Amino acid sequence: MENEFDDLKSIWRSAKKNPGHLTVSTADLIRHAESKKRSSIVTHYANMGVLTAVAIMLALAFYFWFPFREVLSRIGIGLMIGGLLIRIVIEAYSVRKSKIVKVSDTTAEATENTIAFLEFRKKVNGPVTYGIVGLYIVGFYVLSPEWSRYISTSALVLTDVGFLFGAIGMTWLIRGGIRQEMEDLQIVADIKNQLRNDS
Amino acid sequence: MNTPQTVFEQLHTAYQPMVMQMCTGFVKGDRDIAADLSQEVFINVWNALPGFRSESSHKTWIYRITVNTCLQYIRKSKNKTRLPLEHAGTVTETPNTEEERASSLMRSIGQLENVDRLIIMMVLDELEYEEIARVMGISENNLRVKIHRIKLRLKTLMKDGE
Repeated sequence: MENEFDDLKSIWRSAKKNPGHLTVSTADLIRHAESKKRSSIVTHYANMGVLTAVAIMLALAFYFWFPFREVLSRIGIGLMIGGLLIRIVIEAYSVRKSKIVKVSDTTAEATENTIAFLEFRKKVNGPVTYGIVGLYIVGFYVLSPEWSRYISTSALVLTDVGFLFGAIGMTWLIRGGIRQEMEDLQIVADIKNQLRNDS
Repeated sequence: MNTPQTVFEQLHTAYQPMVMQMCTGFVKGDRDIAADLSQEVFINVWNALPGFRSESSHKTWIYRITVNTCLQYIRKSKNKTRLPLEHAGTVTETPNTEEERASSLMRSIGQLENVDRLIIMMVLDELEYEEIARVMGISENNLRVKIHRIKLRLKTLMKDGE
């Protein structure tokens, strides 16, 4: 078997002499790497930025344009903004946690760390996000009693029903995210099993 | 003076053929995807360069990045349409030319499991078992058992391909 394998090594060596596609220069690669790093940072923080902007806009709106007076309404506002703030903190923690996955670690370490990160993401995208969306929905609907004094019943029904559709759409998006995380987790778990086999 | 750019240039020149070859074997012989994947490896090399602490050789370090980048590619490419292996050009006769033999080898390697594929390519690259174990983060004994099994499987696949 060793002789046959030596033949394969020689085929492998010959193929290596003709690798093809050696057109990208080092300078271009560095430029590409730097621009990718920048866009990755932007992507990481964009989500947090959007959530922060929404939280600020809601706070301003409730302070200047819709100053609810009743305790129940204020609890609702607290639930809506509080849920968003929790999500922003979780996103920041998630960005930090993603840094444990290092591409220069051994395959076993990188696999373990990726699994730990994906398990965390699964929790964040699953129960935690559903919980936060739940808080947001409850928060919105407890505003309705006071809200109903300022707008017509038809406008209130329209707002509440419209919000319900928004919540359904949000849940559908969350489910997609969870499915994605589960698929990734399965792939990395398979790699871990392949590494463990034969040991 | 060795600036990061100079070190990177040296690494790129020295290891590009090895990286390209590993990527080609990993993506079952598709040279276009392999070229993209090989670029991704060197982008990761550039980004990881400030963290290189000389605890291992540059060679082992680049093999690690190559292996991990190839494994990450499975997740990134899961939603893309992939060319089924049987459409990648099946050779029905015994491969004669060097190119045919190389592509038959790549196809056979492509039928192995992901981790096995990467391990056998490092063996074909004549990396010491100790170094391969350090790249993968598994014991040398575990590696030896794996390599024995992979060689047998590869032999069967090569025969089936002829």
